Amino acid sequence: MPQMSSLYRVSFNLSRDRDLAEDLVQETYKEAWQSFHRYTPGTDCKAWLFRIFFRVWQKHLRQVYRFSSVDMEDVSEDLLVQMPDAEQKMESEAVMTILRSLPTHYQTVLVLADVEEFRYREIAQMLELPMGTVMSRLNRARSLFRTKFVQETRNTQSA
Amino acid sequence: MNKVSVFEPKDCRRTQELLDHFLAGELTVESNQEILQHLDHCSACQAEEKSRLEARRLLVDGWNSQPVPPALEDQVVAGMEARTRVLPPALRRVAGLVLMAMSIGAFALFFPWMSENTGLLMAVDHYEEVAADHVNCSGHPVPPSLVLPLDSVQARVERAFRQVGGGYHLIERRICRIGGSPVFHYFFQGENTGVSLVLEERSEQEHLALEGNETQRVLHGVTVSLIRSNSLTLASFETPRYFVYLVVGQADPEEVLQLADRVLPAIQAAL
Repeated sequence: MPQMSSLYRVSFNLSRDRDLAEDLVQETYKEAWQSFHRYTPGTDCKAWLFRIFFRVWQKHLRQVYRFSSVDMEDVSEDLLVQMPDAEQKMESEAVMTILRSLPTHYQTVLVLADVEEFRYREIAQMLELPMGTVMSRLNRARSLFRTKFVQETRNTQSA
Repeated sequence: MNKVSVFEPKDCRRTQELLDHFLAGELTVESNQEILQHLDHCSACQAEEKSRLEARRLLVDGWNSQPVPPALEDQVVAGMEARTRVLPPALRRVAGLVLMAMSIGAFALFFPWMSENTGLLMAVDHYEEVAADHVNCSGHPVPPSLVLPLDSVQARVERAFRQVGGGYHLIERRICRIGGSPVFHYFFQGENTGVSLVLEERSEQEHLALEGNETQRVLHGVTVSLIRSNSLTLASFETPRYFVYLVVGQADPEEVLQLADRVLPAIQAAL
């Protein structure tokens, strides 16, 4: 099944619930099947599936929650963090702990850009956000991730 | 001369600000060139690049190490197969619309011998019976005494037709659940014509796929699809919010196109 693993991981990361994550992925493929005639052959199938997934996710949120989004735009920014040497490897689990410590909307753009390698334009379309907001969130997400990454490495070294 | 010294601190600052976008391949050719030139000669920024690549690699590895339930694929496939057994959605949609058009077309054929509202409602009822298995619709006949709000879609359409010399009245509102989303349909009937007009609100979820057995003509800059079958002729075009169908019985396609040509600007302006 194309892209199922990627979709499931994003789904689980957003929902933090295995059953819900599976339901969301199932719903995504059902919607994709239902609107397959809208897919333009030759265009990026992965981006199309992710767009559908985020629509499903938003629909789920609208059904379940009524909340106001947390404004994380004032998170401090430090673009000039020197990273640890390549030899200072971290376990996958520790990296995932760092990722999950970020606000969800930062995790999402970070994963879509740096793991799934979507273009910024595609991310903006998926999340229905202006391009400037996507870039601003990415800058902050990457910066926060690096800061925490360095802290974790130092903690590991001093322990 | 030390190579690094040719760079101002601001060059390193700028490079590191742009470095992530550079690694993501999102910079312009000129900015890319600028960063590459700087990286060629600046060991501090090279180290920064290396460490960011390493952090990204760890992130990718960590992300991809998350397990995916082995049964998920089977569940997804089973869910899709269950839908397939009912009827493929696009086909279901087309089938519903064709049934609707056929019903209205059948009425239109006998229009001169029937009172207009009774006939169209019969056709609509018939459509509802036949299409019930395919699309979940609930119809709301509009009483003749209903005064439409002046700014409503229906009132605008009625005015649009009056502008081109024809009287059309809304006689049925219908909500169909197609693909889980409510889609509004408005059925209009002309006073002195066998032509019915159906407006279908455009939905995010669905897209009308009326490929095949049709010809297209551009009128007033709008593509009009002309679909002809044994029992009816149907001209359809899109406005930003609606699919518009002009449904006639066995009429000369040219007549339908002439009608579409006459009413299209008024309908476009109204919708």
